[in-house]
Amino acid sequence: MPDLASFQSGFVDAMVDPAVTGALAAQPGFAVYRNTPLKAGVDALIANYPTIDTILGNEAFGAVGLIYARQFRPVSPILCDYGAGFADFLAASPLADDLPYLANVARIDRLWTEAFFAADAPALSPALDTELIASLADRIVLHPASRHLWLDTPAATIWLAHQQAPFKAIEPVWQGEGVHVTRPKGAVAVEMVSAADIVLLDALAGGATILAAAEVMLAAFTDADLAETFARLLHCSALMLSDASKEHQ
Amino acid sequence: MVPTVGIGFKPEHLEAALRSPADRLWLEVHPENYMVAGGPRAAVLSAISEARPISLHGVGLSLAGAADPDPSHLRRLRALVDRHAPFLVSEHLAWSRMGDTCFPDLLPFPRTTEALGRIADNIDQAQQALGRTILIENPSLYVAIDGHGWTETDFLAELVRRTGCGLLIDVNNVHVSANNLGYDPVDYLDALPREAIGEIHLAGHSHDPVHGASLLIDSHDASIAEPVWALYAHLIARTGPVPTLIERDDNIPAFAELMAERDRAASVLAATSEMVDA
Repeated sequence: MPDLASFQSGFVDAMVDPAVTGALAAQPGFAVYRNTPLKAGVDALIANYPTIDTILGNEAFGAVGLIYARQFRPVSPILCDYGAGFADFLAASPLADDLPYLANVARIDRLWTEAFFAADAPALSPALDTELIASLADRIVLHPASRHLWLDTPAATIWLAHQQAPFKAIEPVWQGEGVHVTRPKGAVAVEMVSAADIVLLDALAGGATILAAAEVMLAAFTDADLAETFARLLHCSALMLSDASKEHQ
Repeated sequence: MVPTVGIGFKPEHLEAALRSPADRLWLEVHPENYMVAGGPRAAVLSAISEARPISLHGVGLSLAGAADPDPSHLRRLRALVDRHAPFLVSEHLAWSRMGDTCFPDLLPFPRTTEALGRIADNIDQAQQALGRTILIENPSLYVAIDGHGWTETDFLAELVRRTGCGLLIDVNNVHVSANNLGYDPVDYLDALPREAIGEIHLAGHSHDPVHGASLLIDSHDASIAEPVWALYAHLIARTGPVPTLIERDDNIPAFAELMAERDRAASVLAATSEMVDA
């Protein structure tokens, strides 16, 4: 009898390759071991990319999900984090020819998941006095649940439209869009935002102070409305004080 | 605490599980679903663990593998144990990882003396990292493996002896494995070290779509089958009252339907308690 490590190695070879035969693979029950991990992977993808499931439908998602699940086995048993590379996979798949926005919609689903599971921390309240906030400016950072991305397709419009039931047909203008995902009051919120907002969020994420980030934004977009952007960031709980996480614990 | 019957917790049952007037209802979760930094999912576990006794039933430690349990996974599990103070923590006699690759399943192995030593060491590592003993669950089996040096019941008993762990006996797994591999489930139950059994699982199974009743699948997608209820009554008569869980992971019914199965298991437990008390 091989030792445990050798047995596992042979078992995995037979599990991942349907062409492998032998005493184990010849038994009808071995199909259960070939199928179950893949089904778990596909189920996790469906859970983590619900908008792609809505767009493709269960059958088509199952087919593309199975290809991904075979190619990219989980590296962790924490399956709510599975599928980080699914958007890149979709971008390189034949589906992208007919659905050029699909990968970017998947990126928004992924940001949603990241925001949903991100750490808790008290956000800066929009009710705070403006002068008080100004005095704290050097300590303002992005909340752990804030995620943003510039997409080169109208994927935010398409993503938002697919959250409505019944789905109403849309004719998006074919242009890039910014998306900002946050978690105000414990529920994930997805907003379409301007290129100027994305520049400011990029700067903040890169470690700039809020004032420096505002300067970067205004230099790039002279007509940007800083007051409106700042009010929006407070409203969606995107900001906090840099030491708030520690105070929270 | 007098053992009662719990149910596998599903997020869609949150309100019903918190509101239920059921006496000493407890809830079991897969810790892997709650190993997140924060947010609404983490808040759900806090809400149920504040309201009810909970049990953490792991699926990711791969204790029956040749490698050490992943230290980062053990740290995450320890954090949940410390935060939520579960009254039971359990894992499977199975493996699900090789190297950096995970196979989200509960995979079998040859029960050799070499494997026994390796798995006992893995259980030791887990129990030390968690600062407590855990229960080990018997698996559902689908293939015959050559080279077993131990029966499963002797193997489990020896793990108990070497590590001080307890056992979680899934009666549906006993039924499924006995059917698939052709042995007597009652003999199996009678060979278990009864004093080590700290929890019992009851679940539904299905027939393989191709091979039918000759290959039962531990699918957790149906109500508990009558032969499993009969095995449960047999086991409980031997062990006395043991905390029992109604497990359902797919085709999730209304909360009330799970609670009806809970009531049935509770009546089996109560009848046994009376026998023990008398």
